[in-house]
Amino acid sequence: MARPARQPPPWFVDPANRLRFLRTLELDCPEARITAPRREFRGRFAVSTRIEPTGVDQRAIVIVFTLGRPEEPKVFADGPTDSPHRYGDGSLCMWFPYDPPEARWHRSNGPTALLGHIAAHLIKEEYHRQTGRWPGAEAAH
Amino acid sequence: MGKTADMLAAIRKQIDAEDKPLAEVRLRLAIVRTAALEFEGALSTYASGSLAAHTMNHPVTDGDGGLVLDRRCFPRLGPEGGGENPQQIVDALRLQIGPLVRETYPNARVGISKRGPKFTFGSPVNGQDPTVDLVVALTRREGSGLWIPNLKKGTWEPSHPEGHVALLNSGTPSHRSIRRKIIRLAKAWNKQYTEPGVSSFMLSVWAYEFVTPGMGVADGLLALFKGAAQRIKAHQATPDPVGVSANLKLLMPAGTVQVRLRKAAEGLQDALSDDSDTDKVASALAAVFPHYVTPPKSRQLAETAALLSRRTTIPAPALGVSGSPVLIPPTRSYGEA
Repeated sequence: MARPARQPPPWFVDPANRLRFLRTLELDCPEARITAPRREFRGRFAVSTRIEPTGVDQRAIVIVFTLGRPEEPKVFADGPTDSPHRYGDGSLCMWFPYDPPEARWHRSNGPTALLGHIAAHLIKEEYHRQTGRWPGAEAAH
Repeated sequence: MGKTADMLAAIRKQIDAEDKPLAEVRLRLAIVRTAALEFEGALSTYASGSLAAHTMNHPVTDGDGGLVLDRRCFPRLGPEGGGENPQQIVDALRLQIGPLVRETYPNARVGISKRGPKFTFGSPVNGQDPTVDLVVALTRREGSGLWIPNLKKGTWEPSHPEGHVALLNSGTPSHRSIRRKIIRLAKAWNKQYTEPGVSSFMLSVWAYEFVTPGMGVADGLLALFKGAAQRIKAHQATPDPVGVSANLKLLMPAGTVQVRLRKAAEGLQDALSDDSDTDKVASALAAVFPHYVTPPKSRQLAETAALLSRRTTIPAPALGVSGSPVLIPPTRSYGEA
């Protein structure tokens, strides 16, 4: 009987990878810091920073990489939470997880691209709160 | 005072020439004028341009003046003399005035501009190192004004720089002050374009013509934009206000300048129509003065949402993310709270 394939450890287990991610993020957000993740994500890798999406007030955000899905960041933002596109835990639903890679963020795209996705989502949410219209495509639930 | 006037005042603060460079260019022009008066055959000197008309904006780049030569001392010069152009006189002036200016400014150099010697000083003040352009002018036998040379074409042209300054400094103190503010705003508007469509002098002449006593800054600027746009649309020229030079020329095709002026007038009119609504005024003025007025967040949000609706890649800076210009692809939002 074949043994199950051994899963490689999550990328953020290596301190060099964590530091590299943080340093790249700091280029865009000098105040970015490694932070303690929320209780349910303890032991994972989390980074906090602030962004000011165009037309939206400044928001504090926390990016969490989990053990179960180390390539899929969970992103939490302060401020209003009413939105048709949030997960049950309040994290942002920025893309449909089964869409092709070019329509999602991947770690090789870099932290700046992730910030861009986060900013785009917060802009869409704010616009939706003000007008009731969601700019851009939506995946059916 | 309405919101439009408040915001135009805020723009003026951004374009105000700084005191030190302004004092410095006045000093430099005075030194050059004093030195020029020692030239044999010199009759007088004068200050001209935006420095003399008090319409200089930040940064202070140059001070204009002129040296008037006595036609009788140079019988071979000018259209009413032997027709010679003043290249030799300009060269002699450079040799004589250069050392005098270098007594105060050791790094000063004297080159040549279109109408005479051009002085550079190599001594910046607050990062600004204004030059001085000295026009070599000849008195005219008939008519008012002066003959000024075009060294590039080797010709002489009639002009009345002192008359222009007198016109732009005319009127009651309050009207004069309003008109100067309007000219400075119009110059700032014009310079926002990579290729300005109108000369600063032409904007000043339009202000002189279209801004009437009793108008405020906002009304007057609107009158300038509207009046100039209508004139160009009607294919009418702008004559020299003192009637000495040829008609003033636009720097770009008339159609382009007319559209720019019309849009500026519409934006300013929109601002004045909602004069008590800060966001609407900011939104309207941001279209006229994009380099100086930040659109309100509501407008930024609407514009960015429109970009996101197009479902194409968007540069991260357009979303408010600074740093490397990464392109953000469109995604399908998912999830349900």
